Amino acid sequence: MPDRVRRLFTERSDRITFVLAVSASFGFLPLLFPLVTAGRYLPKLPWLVPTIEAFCLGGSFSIALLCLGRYLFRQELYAFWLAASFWVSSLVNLAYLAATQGLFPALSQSAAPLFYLLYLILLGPCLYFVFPHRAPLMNHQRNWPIALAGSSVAGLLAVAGVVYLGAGPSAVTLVDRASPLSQTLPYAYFFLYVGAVGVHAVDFRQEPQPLRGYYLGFLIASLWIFPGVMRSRQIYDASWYAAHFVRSLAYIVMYLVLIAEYLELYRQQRTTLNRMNITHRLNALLSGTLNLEELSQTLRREIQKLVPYDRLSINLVQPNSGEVRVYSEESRLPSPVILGTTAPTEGTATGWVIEHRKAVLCDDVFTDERFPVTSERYRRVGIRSFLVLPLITKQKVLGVLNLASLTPKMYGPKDLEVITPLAEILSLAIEHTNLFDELRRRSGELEALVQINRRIASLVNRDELLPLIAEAARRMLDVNGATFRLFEHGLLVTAGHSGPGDLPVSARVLRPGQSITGKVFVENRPVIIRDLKEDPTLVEQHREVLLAAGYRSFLGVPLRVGDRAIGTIALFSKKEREFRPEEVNLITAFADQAAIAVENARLFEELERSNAQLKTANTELETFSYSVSHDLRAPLRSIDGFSLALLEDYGDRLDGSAKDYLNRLRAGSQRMGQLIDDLLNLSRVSRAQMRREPVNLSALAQSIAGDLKQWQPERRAEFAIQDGLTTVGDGRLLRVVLENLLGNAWKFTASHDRARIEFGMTAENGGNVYYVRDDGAGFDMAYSDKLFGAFQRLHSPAEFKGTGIGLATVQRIIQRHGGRIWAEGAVEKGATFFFTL
Amino acid sequence: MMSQPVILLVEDNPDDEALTLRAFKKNNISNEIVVARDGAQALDYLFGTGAHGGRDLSLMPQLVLLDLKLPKVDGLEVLRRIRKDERTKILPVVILTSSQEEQDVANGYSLGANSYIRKPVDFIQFSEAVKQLGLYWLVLNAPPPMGRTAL
Repeated sequence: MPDRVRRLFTERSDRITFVLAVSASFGFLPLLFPLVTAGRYLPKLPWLVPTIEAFCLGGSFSIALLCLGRYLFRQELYAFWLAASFWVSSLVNLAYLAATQGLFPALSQSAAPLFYLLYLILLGPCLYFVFPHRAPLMNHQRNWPIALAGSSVAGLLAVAGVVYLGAGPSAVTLVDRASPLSQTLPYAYFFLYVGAVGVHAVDFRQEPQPLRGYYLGFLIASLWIFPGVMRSRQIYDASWYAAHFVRSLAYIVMYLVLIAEYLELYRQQRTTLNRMNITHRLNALLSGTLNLEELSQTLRREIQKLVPYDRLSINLVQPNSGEVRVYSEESRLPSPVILGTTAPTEGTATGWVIEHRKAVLCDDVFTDERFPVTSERYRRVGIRSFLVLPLITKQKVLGVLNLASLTPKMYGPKDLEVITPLAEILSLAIEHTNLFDELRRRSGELEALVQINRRIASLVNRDELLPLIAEAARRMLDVNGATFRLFEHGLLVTAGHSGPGDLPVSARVLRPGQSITGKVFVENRPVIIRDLKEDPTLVEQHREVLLAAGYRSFLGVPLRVGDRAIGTIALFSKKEREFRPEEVNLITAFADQAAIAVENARLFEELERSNAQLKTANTELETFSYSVSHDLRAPLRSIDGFSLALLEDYGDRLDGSAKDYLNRLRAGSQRMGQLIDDLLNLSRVSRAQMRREPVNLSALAQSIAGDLKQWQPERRAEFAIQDGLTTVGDGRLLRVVLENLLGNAWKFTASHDRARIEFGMTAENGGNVYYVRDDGAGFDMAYSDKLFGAFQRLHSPAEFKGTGIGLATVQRIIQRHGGRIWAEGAVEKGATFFFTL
Repeated sequence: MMSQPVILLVEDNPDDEALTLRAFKKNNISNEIVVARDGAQALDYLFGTGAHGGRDLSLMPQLVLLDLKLPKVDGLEVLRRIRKDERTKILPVVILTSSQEEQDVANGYSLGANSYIRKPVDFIQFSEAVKQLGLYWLVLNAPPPMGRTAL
C-alpha cells in the first residue's frame, strides 16, 4: 500500500499535476456566490449555499492533500507551502462558514481578525507558488522568503486598514456585512494582490519568458475590490451583480489560462524528459557500440520523435579533397544525391556550415538565396525549408547533419536547441568510429607487417625477398610508395618497388650521390624532405615526375651491413608529412634487418653455387676413381701376368738378367697396383659417408696387434695398449687409422731386435690426446711437415716398404672426425704419433 | 667320357681372357669355356638368341664368370637379366672384376651374385684365386638341379 501511494506521487506525477490543475479550478466555485447571495431571495433553495461551500472546501482540502503528498515524496518545497496555505485557508473558510451559519456562537468575535491575518499571510506564498510555471523549475527556493515577507507585509497593511477604519476589534463581526471589517476586507485583498504582483515583478526580471496568464491572474484577482466595495456600501443593485459577474468571468478565464499553462508546462516537461531519455539512450549506445551505422539509424529514429523532417542526411568531410560524402540518408523524396558519392561543397549550405562551424536555418528555398546550389537541388525535389548542423569534435569539422522538410518555415531556433546535443553525440560517434577504424587498420597493418618481417627474416630466395622489403617499408610508415635499391657494380639499382606505378622507377639506375636517394647512400644516413618542391638536390626530371604525381614528402634511409651501406629504402608520401624520430628509427631498424636478410640471401646463393660446384667435382672424382679402379689395373695385370708367363713358359731360354728384368717388371706392376689401391683408399676415405657410433679403440688396437703378431710371429715386439679407450666416430675409418699407425710402428721397428709399441691416451688442455709410440727408426723432425703428404716418404723403399699414402689417409680420417694429428720423433729414437678426435 | 659342363666367361679384355684361360689350364680345369666378349653376347648365349640362335637351351653353363665393366650391356645388367629369367635364375654367377668399389660389391650381391672376386694384379695370386674358384664351384659345390639335366 505505501508503495502504491509513493508511486502515485512520484512516477505518476504527471497525472498528479493534472489533478492539481483540476482541483485548483474548484476554486472558482465561490464565484457562484452572487447566485448564493441571490439565493436569499430564492428561499426555495436553502441547501445551495452550504453545498457550494462544501465543494469549495473539498477542492481546497484535496489540493492541500495532494500538495502535502508531493512535498513528502518529492521534496518539492512549493508543494509544502501550497499544502499549508490550502489547509489553513480551508480551515479559515470552514470557520467562516460555520460562523455565518451560526454554528459556533461561542466563537470569539475577537479571534476573527487573527484567523484573517493567518489566512492572508499564508495565502501569499500560496499565490506565489500556485503559478505552475515555477513549480517544475524548483529553483525558487531562494525567493520564497521574499514572497512570504511580501505577503506578510500586505496582510499587516490589511489588518492596519481594518483597525484604522473600524471601531476596534470588539466591534468586528464576521456576519455583519455592514461592519468595518467587512467593509475593509476588499481593500485588504487588493493590497494583498498588488503586493504579490510587486514581489513577482521583481522576480520576473530574471524570467526569460513570463507566462501569459501570470499578470492576468493577479489583475483579475484585484477585481475583488469592486463587488467588495459595493457590498460594504450595501449596494445590492444590478451593478453589484454585474461586477460579480465580470469578476466571475475573469476568474474563469484565469483558471482556463492556468490550466492551459499547466498543460503547456506538462508538454515541455515531457519534451525535456524525452530529450534527456534520448540523449541517455544514445549515450549508452555510443559507449556500447562502435557501429556508426547502427547509431545513425537510432539517431534518425530519435530525431524523428523530436523534430519532423522529410529528408535527413549525414554528410562526412573527406580527409583530403575537402568534398563531402553522403554517409547516411533517410528520405521520403527522390534523393537529390546518391548515397556514398562525394560532392563538392561550393555554394552549398553544407560548405558554409563546414567553413563557419555554425548551424544554418533556411525558411524557404524559394526566397533564400544564400546557398544557390542547395536551394536549386532542393527546389527540384520539392523541399522548402532545411536545417544544417555542423558535426564537430576537438575543433575539427567531421561533417554535417542535414534536416529538410517539404513545409516552409519548418525549423526554428528551438529545433536547433533540441538537435544540437544529438549532433554532438553523433560527432563523438563518428570520431570514435574513425579512431577505431584507424586503430583496427593500423593493427591489421602491424599484424601483416609482423608476418612480412618474419618471412623476410626466413627467406633466402632473392627474387621473393626483394619485392617484400619494399612492400613492408611502404606499409610500415603508411606512405604511398616505396622504392628499394641495392648497390651493385657501382650503381644503385632498383631491386624492389611498392606502390602506384607513378613513381620514377624508370630511373632504375642511379649513380651514388645522384638525386636524393643517391645522397642517402653516399652520406649513409637518413634524409627527410618535408616538401619536395623546395628540395634542391632532387634531379629536375625526378622532381617533375614526383610533383606531377602529387608526391610531397620523402624519407630515405640507407641499408647497412655493419657500417657499410649496401643500398637504400626511399619512401614517398602524397600527403605532406613529418617523419617523426620514432618513425625514422623504426624504418632504420627495418632497413638494418632487411640488409641482413639481403646479405644472407646473397651468401646463401653463393653457398648454393659452391655446393653445386662441389657436387659436380665430387661426381667427377667418383667417376675418375671408378675408371682408375677398373682400367688402370687391367694393364698392370697384363704386364705381371705375361711376364710370369714368359718366365714360366720360356724360363729355360732366358739368361739370369732377362729373368731379373722380368721379375722387376712384375715387382713394378705389383707396386703400381698397390699404389692405385692406396690412392683409391684415400679417396674413398674422403668421400665415404661418415657414421657416428661408439668405438672401442682399445679393442680395435688389440685386434690389429694380434693380426700383426700372427703375420710375423718371429718378431720380438711388445704391445702396451691402454684399456678402456672408447670414443664416438666411424669404426671402419678409425680402424684404418689404427691399422696404419700400428702397422707403421710395426714396420719401423723391424730393424730393431726388440720393440715396444704403445697405444694410449693423455688429457691435454682439457681434450683427449691419443698416441701411438714406438722405439723404432724414428725420423728427423726437420721433415715432420712432409709426413702427412701423399706420396711423401722419409725412408727409401729399400729400407721400409710403403707407398707414402698411409699417413695421408690417416690425416684425412682424423680431419673428418674434426681432430688433429701430429708427430714427434728423432732418428733411431722412435716416433710418437698424437691425434685428437 | 661325358663332356665336362661348360663355363661361361664374360670378359671384354683379351689380355684378361688369355690370362684367365691360362690360369684355368695351369690348374687343370678342363671344362669347355665359352667366352662372351660383351654383355650382349653373354645374353645371346644364355638365351639362345642372335649368334647363338637355336642353341640347345637345356645345356646351361655350370658357372658364369662375369666381369662388370663390359661393352654394350654391362655386367650388372647381365646379372639382372639372368636372375629375372626362370631358366637361368638359379645359375651360379661369380663376379670376377678389377673393381673393389664398395658400391659394385653391394650391387653385385644385391642382384644375386653368388660370389665376388677381385682380380689381383699379381698373376700368382690370380691363378690361386681361379684354382680355388674351380675347386669350389666345379667340384665341391653341388650344382643346381637344372645343371644336372644338362649332364
